Amino acid sequence: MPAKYVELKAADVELMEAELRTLCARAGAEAVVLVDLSGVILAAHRVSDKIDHLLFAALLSSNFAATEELSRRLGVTSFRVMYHEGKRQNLYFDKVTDDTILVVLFRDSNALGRVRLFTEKSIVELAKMVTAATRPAGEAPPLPQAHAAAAYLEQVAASIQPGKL
Amino acid sequence: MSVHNVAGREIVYKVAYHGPGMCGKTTNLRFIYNTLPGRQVGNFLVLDTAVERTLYYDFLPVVIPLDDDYKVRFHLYTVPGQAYYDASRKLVLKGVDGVVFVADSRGDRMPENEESLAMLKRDLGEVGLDYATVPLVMQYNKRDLPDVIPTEALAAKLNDRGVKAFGAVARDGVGVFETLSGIVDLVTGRT
Repeated sequence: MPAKYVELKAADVELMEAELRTLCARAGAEAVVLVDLSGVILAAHRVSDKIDHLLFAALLSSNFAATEELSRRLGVTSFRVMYHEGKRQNLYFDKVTDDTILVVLFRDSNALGRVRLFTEKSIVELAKMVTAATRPAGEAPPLPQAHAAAAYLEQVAASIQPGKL
Repeated sequence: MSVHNVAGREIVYKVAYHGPGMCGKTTNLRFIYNTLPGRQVGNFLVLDTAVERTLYYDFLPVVIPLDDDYKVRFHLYTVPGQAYYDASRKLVLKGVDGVVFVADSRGDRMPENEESLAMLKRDLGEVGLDYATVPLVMQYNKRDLPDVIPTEALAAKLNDRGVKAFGAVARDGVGVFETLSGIVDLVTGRT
């Protein structure tokens, strides 16, 4: 069983999305996404459907994780903020908890200071929500349906039978 | 770290394929990608070098529909095998729910297998996980090659936890889904 997990009930998701909506409006952002550092989107607001959300989350989280590793190797205090400046759009990363980051997509017509100010305010609230939703594995509720996944894959293995060793 | 989205009726697990360079980790994911129906696999992301060695990681999301409109999603990653991509490996291992260790069965590759396993143990510790307890299965790949050593010898050298191990020829799909099923069993808590 995994060491810990995040359990998102409908009310948790609504609270997180409401905070992201507020942040988007206050900061004048185009999109905001709350990502677990293992690469899973916990909540998002206005992320375009043209973007593959799964790949987007995987790339965002690994990008931030790489920066953390860099800071560790440099022997400096862990970077909690990261900023990518593009031609028209920019990305602003800020750490929410040890395992989650908030990423804000905004246009260059917007001021970085404004984004940073409101992101920092939102992070305080989001950190409480994420912490409340994080559980040790021992508290994991039974999810018997998930076991069916292994049985399904066994069936796939049996059906393709590409050859025996 | 798995994410159980009760509202979205979805549970997400992260699984990393670890092993020495050119042992067949990407080949495992490519076979899974090519075999499962399109609706069950997402885009296959490969971040490799000009010589087809994984530089950062490969990423393949696999979704399996369950009863009651629930679905379970597995984010499959490979780590770069070469020792000098240490930092990239660690970022993939962060928050991992299960690990598949892919070993190259050829006798002359045993030093690389052992080095890679040692790196896995160390890297897991550095991302706050414990090799002794992380859900783990082994795959002894390239069983079709002439110079392989017996699986018992591989197990004696590598499988110090006595976890489930699967012989494989990933290029032909042999053992690929058995291995995936084995790690899925562990991360979902069935065994």
